[in-house]
Amino acid sequence: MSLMEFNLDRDVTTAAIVSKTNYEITSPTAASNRSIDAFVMEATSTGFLVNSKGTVTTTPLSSAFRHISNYFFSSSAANSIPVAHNNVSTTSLARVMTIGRATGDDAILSGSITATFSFGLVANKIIVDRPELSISGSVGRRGDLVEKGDITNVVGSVFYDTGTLVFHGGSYAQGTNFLLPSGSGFQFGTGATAGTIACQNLSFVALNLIKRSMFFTRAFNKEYNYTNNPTAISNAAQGSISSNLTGNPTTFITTVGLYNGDNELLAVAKTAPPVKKDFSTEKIFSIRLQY
Amino acid sequence: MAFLDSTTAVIDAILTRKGRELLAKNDGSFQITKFAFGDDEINYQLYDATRATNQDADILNLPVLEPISNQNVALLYRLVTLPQGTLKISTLKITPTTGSVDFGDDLILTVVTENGTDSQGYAATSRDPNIATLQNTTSTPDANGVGNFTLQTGPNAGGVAGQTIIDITGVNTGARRQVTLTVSASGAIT
Repeated sequence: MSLMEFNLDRDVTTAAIVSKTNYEITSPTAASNRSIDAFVMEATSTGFLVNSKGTVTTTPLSSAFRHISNYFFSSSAANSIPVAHNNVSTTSLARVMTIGRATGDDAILSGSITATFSFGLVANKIIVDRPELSISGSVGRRGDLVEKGDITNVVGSVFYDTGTLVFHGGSYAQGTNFLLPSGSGFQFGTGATAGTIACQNLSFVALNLIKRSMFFTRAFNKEYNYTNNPTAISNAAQGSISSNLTGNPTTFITTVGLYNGDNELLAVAKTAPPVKKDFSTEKIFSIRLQY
Repeated sequence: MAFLDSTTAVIDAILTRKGRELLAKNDGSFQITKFAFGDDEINYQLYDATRATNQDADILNLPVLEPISNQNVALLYRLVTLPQGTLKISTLKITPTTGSVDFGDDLILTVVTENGTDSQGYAATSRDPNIATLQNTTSTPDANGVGNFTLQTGPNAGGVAGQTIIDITGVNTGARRQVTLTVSASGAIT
């Protein structure tokens, strides 16, 4: 036998390690480097999505709206979503930030978001997140985006598991209206000019989940003392083992392969130097795989 | 107070391309259930059993390569468990031993294990799927212990003529053999 099955209860352990990383984004370049996009989405617009660097993409604004409204708000919310600060009226325009994730398991730490915006010539409007106490929807944990100085002024929603911030409301009277027409834009920058909305600063904590598995592979004394290595074969046609290896069959382990049920090689580890194995020795290798 | 067990070595593994592919699917298909040992870098001609001591000195000083992510070549030669006193190791007999087909034609390879059995079957890979692809990458032996693989070429592969190698491995024995396949340019769309 050359392929050995693991006893999954005995030989394999898996642990999830969560690391936290603080980010502070203050420029379009920093946003781009961290794969953060900010854009206006509009249900009825024929225009195209403009990303955080001000570049026009090929994604229609209406497609972005339908996708986000359907996924995060309601499967029937094709052309409108609730206005954040009153939850009665609806809007067909909203502003969105998407924070890129390295893996599907990554997320944003709830309660860690602080964003500073400029609305026209009014700067330094600080928005923070207030997470829900329990997970109520199908899209994971969500929270409200509120004005720091007045938490009753709800300006949007944050979906932590996907790293999505949707700004779909805000008090006009308090100068935090994210529902201004799309011409006002939505970009990262130090300050806005008249009639535009800019994010001066965005800070958050990203959660990065790493899975680490340990596989204990054992070679007992009577196992793995022969090899298919052609240099150990004296007659390839007949499979005769070289005479220098028949008296005391000996092998040298350099590689450990990890396979799935279909015998496909999924991971590989190397030993250095080679590890000698014969009928008088046993070896255990703990294979660490991080993904 | 206890001493650490020095017979346990902790080593890091890397994912192969296949591993990354299945992990990216995120559908539960990435599940490791088996392992094998290999000794690809070892040249057993350097093992001198006639020496009184240090028979393995030359081998233990051999450099070991870093792990590579191509699952087709990352572990070629598996170690195998056989009774002490065994003089012959299992081998694969493949028919034909080399192949030459016209562009677009199929070729069937049959494989049987000698000096052993591969009851769990055989696995095969094509090193250049543009020249030849395998209709089946695994084969369960029939009542006579014979497995077969169908190679497709031309438009049924990547549409490229040339030469490639097909690697076939016995699941139980770890025995492996390769077949060189030449696909002629005749009929190829240029």
